[in-house]
Formats: sequence, structure tokens, C-alpha cells
Amino acid sequence: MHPFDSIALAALSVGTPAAVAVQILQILGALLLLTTFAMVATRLLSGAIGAYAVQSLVLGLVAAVVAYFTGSNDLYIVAVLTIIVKCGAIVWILRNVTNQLHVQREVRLYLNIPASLLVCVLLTLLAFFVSPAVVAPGTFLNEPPLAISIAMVLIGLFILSSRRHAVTQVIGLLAIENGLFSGAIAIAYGMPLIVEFGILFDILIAVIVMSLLVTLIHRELISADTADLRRLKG
Amino acid sequence: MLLTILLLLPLLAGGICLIAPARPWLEATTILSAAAVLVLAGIATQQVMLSGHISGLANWLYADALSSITVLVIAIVSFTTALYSIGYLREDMREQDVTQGEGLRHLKRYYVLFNLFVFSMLVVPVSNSLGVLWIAIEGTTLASLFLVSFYGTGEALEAAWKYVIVGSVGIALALFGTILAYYSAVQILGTSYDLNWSVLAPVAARLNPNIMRLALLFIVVGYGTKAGLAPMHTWLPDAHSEAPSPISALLSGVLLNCAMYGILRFYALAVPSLGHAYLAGLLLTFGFISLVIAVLLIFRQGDYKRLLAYSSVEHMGIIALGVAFGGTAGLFGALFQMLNHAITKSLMFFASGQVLLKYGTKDIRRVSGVIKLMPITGTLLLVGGLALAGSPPFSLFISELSIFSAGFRQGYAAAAIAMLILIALIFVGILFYLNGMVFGKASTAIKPGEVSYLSVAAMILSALLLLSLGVYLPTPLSNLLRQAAVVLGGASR
Repeated sequence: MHPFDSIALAALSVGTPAAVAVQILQILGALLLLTTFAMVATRLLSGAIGAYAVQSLVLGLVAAVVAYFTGSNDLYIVAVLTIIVKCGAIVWILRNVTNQLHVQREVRLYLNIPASLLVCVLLTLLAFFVSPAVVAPGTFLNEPPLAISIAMVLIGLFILSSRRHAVTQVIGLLAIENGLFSGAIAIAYGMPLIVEFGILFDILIAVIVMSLLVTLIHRELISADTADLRRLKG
Repeated sequence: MLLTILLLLPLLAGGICLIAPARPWLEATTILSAAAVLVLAGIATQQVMLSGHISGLANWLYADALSSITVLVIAIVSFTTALYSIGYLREDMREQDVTQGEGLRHLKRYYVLFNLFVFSMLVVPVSNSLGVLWIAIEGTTLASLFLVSFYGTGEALEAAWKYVIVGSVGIALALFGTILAYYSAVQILGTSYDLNWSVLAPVAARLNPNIMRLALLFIVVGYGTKAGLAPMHTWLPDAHSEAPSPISALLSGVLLNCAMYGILRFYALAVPSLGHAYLAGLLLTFGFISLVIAVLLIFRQGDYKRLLAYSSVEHMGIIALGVAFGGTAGLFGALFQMLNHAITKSLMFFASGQVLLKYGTKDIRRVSGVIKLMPITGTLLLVGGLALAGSPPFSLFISELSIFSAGFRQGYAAAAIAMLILIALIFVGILFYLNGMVFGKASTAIKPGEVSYLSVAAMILSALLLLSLGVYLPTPLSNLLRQAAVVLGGASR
């Protein structure tokens, strides 16, 4: 997202490729944040899944743009795999599992949607506020991209704690993961390739496993509302 | 090579179980693989002792003394658990037809996942890459999820859901910590380097301390969630109480230690750049919260498997305190505590599994007179309970004493005394409940006799280990523990 530290100084003049890249990445970063808000703004599961699909596509593009400007072949592979695994496989699995359920929207929320969005705005402000503290002064990092990642993680955590539908909770987890992924690109141009592979694979398996579990819970409790899961205490 | 085979064995066993035609195959494969892993773990440990560390698979695998101890813990407990599982499942699924159809599939699922679970846990200590370490810890959640929900009841599914959600959030935080740790070395090693322990350890003193400080916070909270440190422990009592007893034993005895290993590995990485004080503060905080939560919940517990689960929270807290106190004695104590707790707690879950099969209830108040109905299980329950509570002559007493004395020696006297008081309270609590369960009037409605002699054999094995480690610590083991303490940075202080 900000691979420009090495190139930024050389590319201050508007219109050079690097300056264009900065602009593209800024737009993509804004889109990432927007899709995260969209997850919170919708009650429909299909809407949240759609938002996740768009978010993952944007994330793949971010990786591709960074790859182009750093000349990193590894990142190209990561970009392509991200789009295939997240926009393809994971979205397909989530759609499938949602279609089996009786209730395909969030019926009762712990917090209504306007209030939730307000919380998300506050979380985003918080993220922009704390991100300079994360970044050591004098390093080649610029702050906004990391702030967006942190905001995505915080909003993901918020989705997890404020929504009751099992599928929405999975999407909250995935939003956290997307935030971390973009954070890794923002501060370190991504992780080593093998680690990225492993993480993607883990996420895929996790979504499969959780979908199976949602199906089982649905069969047992005739609902996928996690508020119905409250027999274990103490 | 050795490490590669060590990892391939359970993977292969899982594969064989997948295509095995009948129960004897499943049982034989699992127990043979577990035994072979145990032998290989012993050989690997010996090599580590000789040469400091071993590596394999093009440097992807790496084991030093700290890894060896964790591997040994995994190997020992997964062996006894494999043995116990056979007896337990035979009894537990007696009314189902396991020769074909749904019953066989159910049984198969257990053994396949059991082996995969052991595999994923073994990857944790022997992976050189800190990224692979993360992947493996996430893998342990995924492999064990359907073991936790094995019974398929509403409660079991609820426990599994909580387990996967809380665990995944924790592990996501740990990923952020890992990314930050990666970033902390970018200025030294360039923007693309292998995130390997063997690469990072030599430059550990030059890592960016500001970033490492934040990284360690996320690592301790993240992996601490899976290690069962309070207040992130919420998944633990549910998962432990709803899972089949052998799986509870694996979760408590080994999985928690795997996650703790993740914390220890990063601790070792961070000490040179950050110093001990910051990390000690972090671990002291979570250690004490764990002990306090354990005390509070043990005293109002009505379910004996949950009781044991909270005792795991307690022991993880003690291990964290041991590392926080530091010094050779503290680190030695913490590592020894890991081993002792794993053996003791698995024994207790084995025994509680026998009780559950016999009485059909997890309610403490409805269980009494175990020793009259099942003399061996009752005796072992008592022995394990005494050991768990930390009384001599069992090995947990020695490791707790070592941690306690480290507290004094390293200038944490107040903390050490507070720890002692909390442990003493838990001692009273556990023995109070246990007294009612083991002694007291036996119900006449239940037929006396042990449930399964195979399971009893596994329990006796654990009890013997426990007792012998309590009276005599073999020199190789104490050397290994000392070496691991050196890896953790104890020698420099």
C-alpha cells in the first residue's frame, strides 16, 4: 500500500508512475474501509458476503499494485491466490451454507445499525489516532495504510461481538484477517511466500470447518443464532 | 531427517485410518504411530542434547532444547491418550454398531482427527519459521474442533463454536504480533527474508525494541488465548468439559503447552532487545489474573470436568509466573511444570472419563464412593488429585517449589507469596471436592468394577511417571531442562 518510501522522493512530481500508484492505493485503501463499513451496514447475510467478496478483490488489487512497484514476483502470486481463494472459494462456501439456513438475515441485533456505524466511525478514528504510535519514527512507513488495516481489525472485532448470526460472526473473523493481511503488506510488503500460502490455506480450511459447524448447529438448534448457544456457564 | 519422519508418522497414521476397514486397524495404527513418535522424540532429544540443535527438511524444521521438551510432552501424553482412547471408545460406543455405516464413520472420524491433531501439535515446536508456527497453532484448532463436538449435542456444538471463534480471534491477534515481529527486523535483514528462528536469533539484540514491545503484547494476548490464560480463557472450560475425556486430556495436557511454547519462543526472541522487565510485567499480569479466576471458579464449581479445566487455567498461570520470575530456577521450574502438569492433568481427565462412563453424570455432588466401585480408578483419582494440588512427593510440588524460590531470589517476593496463598486455596478446593467423590457412600444402583482395563493401564502408566519424577529427576532430563532455560535466556541473568 505504500511501497513508495524508496521511490516516493524521486517521484514527487505529479503524473509519474509512482505518484499514480500512490493515488491508486489511496483509492483502494478507501474502498477497503468502505467495504468493511458495508459489512456492518447490512442486515442481509448475502450483503455482508458480497461486501467481503469486494473487499477481498480490492485486497488482491492492492497486493498486485504493490507487487508492480516493488517488482516482487512473490506478491503477484499472493495477489492472484488471494482473489482465487477469497473471492472464489470462500465466498462460494459462505453462499452455500447461507442458502441452507432458514433465516438469512440478522433478525435481532445487540446494537442497531445506525449506532453500530457510529461505533465504527469512532473505531476508525481511534485507528488513525493510534497508528503513529505503532510505527517507529524514522522508518519507511507512512501511516494511513496501516491505520486502515487497524480500523478493519477493530471493526471486525466489533462485528464479532455485536452480531448474533453465526455466519456474520465468521465474516467478522474474515474481516479481521483481511485487515491483518493488508497490514502485513502495508508495513512489510507482505510475509514470506510460504507463510502467505499457509495462512491462505488455513483460512480456507477454517471457513470450511466453521461452515460445517454452522450446519450442525443449525440442524441441532434449528437456528444459527449464537444467542441460542448459552447453556454452558461458570 | 529425523524430524521429518517424526512429523510424517502421525500424518501417515491419519491417512491409514481414513481408509482402514475396521476398528482393530484404527486402534493399532494410532497406538503404533504414537509409540513410534515417542521413540523418535526420545532419539531427537538425545541428539539435541549432544549438538545443541538439529534441523531438517531444508532448514524448515529446527529443534533445540526448548522444542525438545515440548515434543517430549506431546509424545508422552499423546501415547498415553492413544492407549486410553481405545478403552474409552470401546466402552463409550458399546451400544453402537461400529462394524459398518454411521458407527464406523464416527469412530473413524475420531481416529483420523486424533492423528491429525497430534500432527498439528508436533509441527508447532519443530518449525523453524515463526509463520509456520502460527499456521500450526491455527491448525490445532481446526483439527481438534470436531473432536470437541464429537458427541454432537447442543452443548458440545456450543462449546465447539465458542472454541473456534475465541480461538480464532486470539490467533488473529497473534498473527498481528508475528507480522510486527517480522517488521521489527526488516531494517536489519531487508524486506524479504525468511521469518526463521535460526535467522532471527543471531540478530535478536538488534531488533527494533519499540516494535517488539507491541509485537510481544499481541503475541502474549493472542497465544495466551489458546494457552488458556485468563481473562482470554473463556473457551477453555466449555471445550474441556464437553469433549470426550481423552480429548480433554490432549487439550489440557498438550494443546495448552503448544500455545505456551509459542509465547516462550517469542519471549526468547524478545529478551535480548527488550530486556526481562517488560515481559515479566506482562506475564505477571496474566499469570495472576489466571490464578485468581481459577480460585474463584473452582470454589463454585459443580462439574468435575470444568473443575479440572479451571485447574488448567491455574497451572498455565503458574507457568507464566515462573517465566516472569525468571532466572534459571524460574525458567527451569516453568518448563518442568509444563511437563508435570501435562502428565498429571491427562491422568485426571482419564480418571474422570472413567467416572463419567460409570456414573453417567458430570455433577460432583452426584458422584461418591468411586474408590468402592472402582478401586484402581478411585486410587488414581486421589493420587492425581493430590499431585495436581501440588502436594509432595509428586513432581508438581518440585516445580512449583522451584518457581516459588525463584520468585524470592529474583526480587518478586510479594508476588511469590501471593502465588503461594492462591495455590493453597486451590489445594483446599480440589481436595474438598475430591474427598466427596472418592470416598463417601457408593450408590448401590451401580455395578462395581473397572470400566476398561486398557484405560486403567494408561492411567497407571501416567501415575508411575508422575511418582517417579517426583522422587527422582533423571540427570538427562534435568540437563535438558537447564539447556532449555538457557535458550530462554535464563543463563545470562
